[in-house]
Amino acid sequence: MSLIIKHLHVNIGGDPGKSLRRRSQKAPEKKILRDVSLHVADRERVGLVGASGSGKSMLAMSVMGLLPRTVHVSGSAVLDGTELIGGTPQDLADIRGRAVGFIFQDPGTTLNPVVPVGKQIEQPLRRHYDLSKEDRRERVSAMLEKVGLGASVASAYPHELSGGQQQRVGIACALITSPKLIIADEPTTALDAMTQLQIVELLVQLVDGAGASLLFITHDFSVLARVAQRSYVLESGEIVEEGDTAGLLANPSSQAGDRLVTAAKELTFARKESR
Amino acid sequence: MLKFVVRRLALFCVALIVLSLLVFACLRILPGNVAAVMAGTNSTPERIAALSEQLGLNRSYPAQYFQWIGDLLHGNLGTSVLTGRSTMAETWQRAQVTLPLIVLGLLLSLVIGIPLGVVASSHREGGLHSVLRYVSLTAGAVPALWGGLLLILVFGRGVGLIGIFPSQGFPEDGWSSPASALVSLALPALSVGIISGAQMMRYTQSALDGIAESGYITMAMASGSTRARAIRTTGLRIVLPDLISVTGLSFAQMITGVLVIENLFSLPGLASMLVTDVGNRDLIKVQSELMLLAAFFLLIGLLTDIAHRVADPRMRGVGAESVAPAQEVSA
Amino acid sequence: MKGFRSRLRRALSKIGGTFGYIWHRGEGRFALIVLGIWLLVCIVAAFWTPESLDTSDGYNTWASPSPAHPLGTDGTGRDMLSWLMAGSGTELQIVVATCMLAALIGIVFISFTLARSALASEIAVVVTDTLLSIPIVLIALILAVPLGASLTVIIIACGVSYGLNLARIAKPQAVLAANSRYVEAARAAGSSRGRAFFRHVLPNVIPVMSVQLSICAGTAILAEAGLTYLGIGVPAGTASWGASLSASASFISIFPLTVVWPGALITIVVVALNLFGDSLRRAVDPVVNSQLRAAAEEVERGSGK
Repeated sequence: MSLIIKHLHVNIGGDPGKSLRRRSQKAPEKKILRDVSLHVADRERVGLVGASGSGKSMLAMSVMGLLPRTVHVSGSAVLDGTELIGGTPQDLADIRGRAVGFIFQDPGTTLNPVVPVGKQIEQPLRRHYDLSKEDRRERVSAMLEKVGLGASVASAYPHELSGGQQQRVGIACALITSPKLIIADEPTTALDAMTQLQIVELLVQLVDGAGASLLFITHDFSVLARVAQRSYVLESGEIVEEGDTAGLLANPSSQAGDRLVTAAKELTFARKESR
Repeated sequence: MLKFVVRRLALFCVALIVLSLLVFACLRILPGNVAAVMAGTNSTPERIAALSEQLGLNRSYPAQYFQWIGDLLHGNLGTSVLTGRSTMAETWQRAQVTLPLIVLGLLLSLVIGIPLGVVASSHREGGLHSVLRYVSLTAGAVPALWGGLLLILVFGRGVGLIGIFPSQGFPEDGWSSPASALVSLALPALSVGIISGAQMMRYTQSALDGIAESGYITMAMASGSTRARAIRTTGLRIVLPDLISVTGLSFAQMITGVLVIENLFSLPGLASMLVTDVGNRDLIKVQSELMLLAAFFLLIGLLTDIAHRVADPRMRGVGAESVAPAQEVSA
Repeated sequence: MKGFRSRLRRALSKIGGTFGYIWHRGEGRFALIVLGIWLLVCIVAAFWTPESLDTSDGYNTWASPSPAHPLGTDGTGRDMLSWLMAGSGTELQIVVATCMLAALIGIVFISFTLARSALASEIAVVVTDTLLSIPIVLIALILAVPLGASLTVIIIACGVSYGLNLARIAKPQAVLAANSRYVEAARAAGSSRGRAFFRHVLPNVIPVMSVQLSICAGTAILAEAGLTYLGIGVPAGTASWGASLSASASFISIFPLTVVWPGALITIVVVALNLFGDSLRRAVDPVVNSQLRAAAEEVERGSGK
C-alpha cells in the first residue's frame, strides 16, 4: 500500500478551548508543518527523522485525523487512491486500525490501564470485522505468539507488564488486522537499548512478513539504519533532506541531518563503550 | 484485595465507635439535663425524676453509653418516650419511602448526568458544549425546594400546567400497591435526580475532558474509533473508578435535598420523623436514629471504596493506604 | 517590616491581576457583577430597606408586584424586597463564616497529612475519608438538638464537611509542594517545618483552595435554604433567602408568583459563585492561562533549563 503526501501544511491555532480562542489575537497561529511532501511506496520501509519539536509526530497524526479539530490541516495525502485530508471523522476511523496500524512511543500512556491487554488487541477486529468471540480470541492468541508473548498474556493488565512487553502488545494491536501500512511513532524511545533492538527486529520481521509498508518516525538515526531503506529529515516543520538511509548516514548534506547523524554516532559509540 | 477489605472494615468499625461517641456527647453532655428537656418546660421535679429513672439517665455517662451501645448491638433501638412506638419499627417503615426515593433519584441522576457529560465532552468545540455547560450550571444551582416547587407548578396534579403526577402524599398501604407508590415518587425523584444529575454531568464532563487529549483516546482512535466513540467507550471506562467514587459521595450530598423534597411532597419518610423528633427533643430516639443513619452512610462509603478498587485493576494489588495512582490519573 | 510590605504589595498586585483576568471574560464579568451587587445590597440593607422588616401590610398579603411592593408581599403582608435585601446580609455571614471554618479545618488537616509522624497523617486521612460519607444534614441534625435552629448549626455542619473535602482535594497539590526542591532547600537552610509549611506549601495550595471555596460558598447558600426549610437552619424571625423561600413554599398552589423571587435569587447567586470559581480556576491554572504559562516558561528559560 502506498501513501503519498503532497504540500501538507499543519497549523495550530492559539489556546485550546473555544471561548479563549476568540480572544487569542495575542497567540498567533503556529505553523507546525510547512509544505511537506513525502511518499511511502508499496512494501517500502521509510524513515522520518528529526529532532524533538520538528513536527514529525504531527505529520502522521494529522493526516490520519488523530489531532483535535483546533488543528488546521491542508494539502493532500493519498492512501492507495483515497484522499485523506478533508475526510469525515467516520471515514478516517474506518481506515484507522484496518488499512493503517499505529504504534506509539509510550505504551504506558496509550494502552488502556483498566482493560486486559487481550481485549485491547482485539479492539481493531471488533471495530472493523464481524467475527465470533472464539475467532477473535484465536487471532489474539496467534498474534501474541507472533510478537513473542505467550497467549496467557491476554488476561494481563498493562501495569503488570514490562516496558518491552507493553510495546509488544502495542505492536500486536497495530498488526492484528494485517494492515498494509504501519505508522510507528518513536516506538523504541521509551525502551532501554537492548529492548530497542529486539523491538526493531520484531517490527521489521513482522512488517516484511505481512507485505506491509512502514513509516518509521524517530529522532535516532542509529535505529533508522536497521529499519528504513529510505529516509526523510524534518526540521522546523520542513523536509530538509531525503535519500537512501545508508547514504544519509554516510554523508548528510543538511545541517540538521549532520547533527542527527553525529548524535547517533556518539550514542552508538557510547553504547559500545558501556558494554 | 482481601487485605484491603479487611483493613477498610477495621476502619469502618473504628469510625462507627468514634461516631457513636460523638453522637452521644452531642446529645447528652451539651444540652444540660436531658430529662428536664424531654419532659418539657413546665413539668414537675417529680416527673423529671421519674423520667430520669425510666431512661436510666441518673447513671454515669459511661454506664449510659455502654447500655446504649449494648442495646444497639442487639438491634434494640428503644421506644419513643412520647409515642411509645418502637424506634426500629418506625425507622424501618419510614426508610421504605426514603430509600426508594434516594435510589430512584440517584438512578435518574446517572441516567441524565453521564450521557450528557459524554455528549458535552465529545463536542468540545461548538455551541452545544456551552449550552450544556450553562444548563448544568444552572440546574445544579437550583435549591431543592425551589426545583420541587417548579416541578409541581408544571406537573403537579390539580396545580400544574400539565397535571399528570400527584404532588402530595404516599399511598396509605405503602408498597402493597407498587404502581401508585411509584407514581407518587415520580416528581420527588425527578426533583432530586435533575439537580444531582446536573452535578454528575459536570463531573463526568470534566473527568472526560481530563483524558480527552490523552494517549488512551488516541490509541482507541487508532484502533478504528471516531473521537466521540473513543470518549464514549474507552474514556468512560477509564474514568469509571472516579465516577463510582463520585456517585458514592453524591449519595451523601443528595440527602439534604431528599429530606427537603420529602417534606415538600408530604411523604412519610425519614425526614418528617427526624425533624419532628429533633423538634420534640425526643433525645433517646434521635440518638439511635442518627446513629443508624450515620452507620448506613459509612457503609455506603465502604462499599464505594471497594467498588472503586474492583473497577481499577491497578489498585487491586495495592495496600489500603496508597490511593495515589487514582489521583494521578484524575489530575 | 519592609519585606512584609513588599510581599503584601506583590500579593495585592497578584490578586489584582487575577481579578483582571476573571473580568476579561464574559462569564467572569457576570460573576463579579452579581457578587458585587450582592455585597452592595448587604451594605445598603444594613442601614436601610424600602420598608421596615417589622412592618406588615395586613390588607395586602400575597400581593403581586406593585410600585409600593416591587416584588410583592408574603403571607403576613411583609415586603418581599425588604426581606430579601435583609436576607443578603445573613447569607453573607453564613458564607463567610463557613468558608473561613472550612479553610481552617482544611489547612489543619493538610498539615496533619504532611506531618512527620506516620500515625498523624494516617489518622488525618482516615478521618477525612470516613467522615466525608456523613451527610451535612446529619451533622446539622445532631447539632440542632443541643443548639436548636441557628446560624451556628449551618456554619459548623457545612464548615466541617467542606473543610474535610477541601483537605482531600488540596492534598495532592500540598504533597507535591512539600516534596519540591524549594521546601527541601528551605529545610536544608535551617528553616523549621512549620515555617516551610507556611512559606512554601500554603501559597501553593491557596489557588486550589480558593477555587474550591468559591464553589463551597454556593453550596452553603443551597444548604442554608434546605436546612432552614427543615427547621434546623436560620431561626424563625431572621431574614434569609432560605426563610423567604420556605415561607412562600407552603402556599405554592395559591400564590405561585411569590415563590419565583427567592428561588431565582438563590439560583443566580449560586451560578455566579460557581462561574467565579471556574474563572478563578482558569486564572490560576497555567495550562489554561497563557499569560501565566508564558511567565512560567520565562522563568524556566531564565534558570537555563
